[in-house]
Amino acid sequence: MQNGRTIGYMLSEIELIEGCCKGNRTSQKALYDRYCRKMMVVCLRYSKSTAEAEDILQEGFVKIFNSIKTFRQESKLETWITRIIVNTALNARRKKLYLYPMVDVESIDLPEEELCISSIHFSQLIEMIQSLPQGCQIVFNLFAIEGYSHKEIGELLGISEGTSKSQFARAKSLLQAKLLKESSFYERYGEAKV
Amino acid sequence: MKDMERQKFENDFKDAFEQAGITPSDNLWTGIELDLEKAESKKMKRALLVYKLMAAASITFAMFVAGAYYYTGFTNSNRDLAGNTLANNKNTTLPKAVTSTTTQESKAGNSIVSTSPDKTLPGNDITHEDINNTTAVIGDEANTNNGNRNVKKENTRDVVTPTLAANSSDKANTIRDKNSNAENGNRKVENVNVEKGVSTPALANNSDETSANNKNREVDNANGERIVASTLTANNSDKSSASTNKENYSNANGDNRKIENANSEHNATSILAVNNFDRDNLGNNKENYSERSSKKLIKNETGIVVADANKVSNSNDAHAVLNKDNNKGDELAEVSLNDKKLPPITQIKKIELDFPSTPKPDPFAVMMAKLELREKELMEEGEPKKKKKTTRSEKLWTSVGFAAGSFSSSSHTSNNGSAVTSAQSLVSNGFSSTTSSRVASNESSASGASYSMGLNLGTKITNRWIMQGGVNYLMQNSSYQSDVVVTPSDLSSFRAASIAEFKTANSGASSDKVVSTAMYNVNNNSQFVSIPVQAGYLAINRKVGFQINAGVSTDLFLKNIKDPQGVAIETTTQGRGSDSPYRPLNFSGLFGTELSYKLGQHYRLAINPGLRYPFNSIYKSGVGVTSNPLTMDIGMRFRYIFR
Repeated sequence: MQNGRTIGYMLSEIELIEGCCKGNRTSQKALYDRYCRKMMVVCLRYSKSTAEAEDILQEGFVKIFNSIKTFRQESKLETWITRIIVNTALNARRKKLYLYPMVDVESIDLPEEELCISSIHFSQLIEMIQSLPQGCQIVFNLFAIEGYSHKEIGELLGISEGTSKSQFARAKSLLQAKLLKESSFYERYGEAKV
Repeated sequence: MKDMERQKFENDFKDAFEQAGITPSDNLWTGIELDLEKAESKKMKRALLVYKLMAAASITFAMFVAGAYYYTGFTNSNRDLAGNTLANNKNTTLPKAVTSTTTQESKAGNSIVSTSPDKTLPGNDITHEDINNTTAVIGDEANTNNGNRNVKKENTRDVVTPTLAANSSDKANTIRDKNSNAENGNRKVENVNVEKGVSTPALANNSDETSANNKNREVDNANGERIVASTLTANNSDKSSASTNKENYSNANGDNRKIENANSEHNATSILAVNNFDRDNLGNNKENYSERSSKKLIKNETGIVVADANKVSNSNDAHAVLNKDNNKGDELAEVSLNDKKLPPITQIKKIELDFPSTPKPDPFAVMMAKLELREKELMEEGEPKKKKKTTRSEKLWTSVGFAAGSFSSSSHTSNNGSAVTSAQSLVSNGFSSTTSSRVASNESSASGASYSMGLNLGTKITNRWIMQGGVNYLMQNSSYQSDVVVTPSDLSSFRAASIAEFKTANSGASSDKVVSTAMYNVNNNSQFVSIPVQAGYLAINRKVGFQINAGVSTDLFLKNIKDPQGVAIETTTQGRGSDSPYRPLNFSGLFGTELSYKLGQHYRLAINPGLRYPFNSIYKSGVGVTSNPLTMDIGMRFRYIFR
């Protein structure tokens, strides 16, 4: 894998795309090696377990290689790949969302102080996000990290804008509570070394 | 607005994941590769299937077109030749292939096929003949019938039963049978299993004066099998090789023939080859032997060639072979076999099965398979059941179409059932004159153009089979040359004659008469209403469709219009009446293909090449002329799909 990653970084983006369009396995492996780590984080944010995340990642990359001919280079390749992975994750989770539909939740009082999360490792943040309820997890990822608006999220998931807002607020409050707990733990026992 | 929505909290989270990365497991790429290869193989299979179907359809269509073209050319050439060659083709008989063996064929069972002509084999007599290779066939045991022979097989290794025959008279040779049945002249020939094959039994007569003759005989067994019994005769002379030793026999030409008998009691014929007998060694047998060079293949009851029999006897009183255990005290003849052990005819090879070792399953593939199974389970838990997409689309449709093509008539005149195409025959068939008959022939054999249009309705009965029917209007135009007109007795008008009028005019049945005139063209237009019913097979059922249709059409004759090109000759129209020569109702066979393209959800455009051939003549039986025009056309059909 190390060699593949090296080859991947040696080839330019255009060369990679051309090779993948022709079905060249080396180019496909190089593309995978270049983006698999980042996309794995994306998948972990949308899933509940590592196994589920790897499933989403595998399915996503197969879709990428099958549809790379349609990539018109109007945006960055990483953006296009991320969008495909996110859509794949949403499709996978949408089946579960059918069983547990999102509804408006009551307004929650958010703590006034903003917590600093720079001291917390991203793997812990991922665990916190995975612990959120299903709907909150997806809305939080789409709004806070992917940068979608609540209106766009509503269109994506088939919910109202108000539902999206309420789900996000709930997610935020839950995360803040967890962060508070974590930071107080750090204060007591020192910063976690990861 | 968007920035107002986002607060520091969200930005911090976004920044935290900006450079984050986690390496997935190494098996993930293997799974991706597997999925990619699966997708590629599916695409290839689909493309290959489409190409195969297209190739098959193209070949089928090309063969049909070629066959139809050949058929039309063949019928036209036959028509020309039939009149000239029919008289020479009477009572042709094939010469009989006569061979001596065919005249001697048994009723059933073993048959002898001679590769060279044999002499006829009269009676029971045996004549001197130089025999280099004689084969003796001893038949197996069979139930006796009148005139049949019983053959009993004896499983002995070293004995080939010879026969001794007296030399004194033609029938002096005695036949040694073990279980001879004196009644009805039945005889038995013992069959001996000879493992060593070559047997040229040498016989030694008990008496010095007896002489034995070597013969090959055919003995019919109860099942009609021919059994050729070898008989050996030995002279008392010094040249006689008759001895009880096996060493006296050798192969003259190296043609040792040996066939081992089956050990079953009811099978097998053993064949003994006897070689190297001089002519002098033969007795005064009067039987004729086949020539030395002829080789006869003797088949056993299962049809397997078992031997060559050089000697075939026509005699039913074959000289039997002695059994060494003959209790009657007759002269025994011991047969000595060649000591050399011949190689077996067949060597059964032992087949050893080499089973491939079971391959070890790839752990990655096993793991990926498990992951896929788990994913499917998860999907099934949460996914609502999708409605099964129905494959039976296009269940009912209607179509409008038109077609154009050509037809060629294969015309004959019927004269007491035999097809004759000559003017004289037409005359004898009731036509008024040779000229009239010629014009009638011209009209019935004219070729031309065919047009049809109509409305059809179709339905799908299974996934691949459809039924369709409709109503079509069919028009056939042809032109022929005529030099006769029909006119009433007062010559007030002239018209082109129909085939029926050729017979009735000038015969007194009608006041009109047929008169000769200058040659002129006649445009002949026949109109029908056709009701086709066809079954179709959907070879390709996609956006592009390919269908093969076959069926029957009911053709109702409407009218016939004769439009002469000559001056002052009237146009005549013939309807469906009793005086019309045309058959009012006829049936035609239909065959065609349909290549279509789907436009949207409810429309389909198709091209239909097809063939039409009437089962009966378009003319009535009593007309005296038959015509079965073969129509080849190509059409377009526009289909509206209801559901």
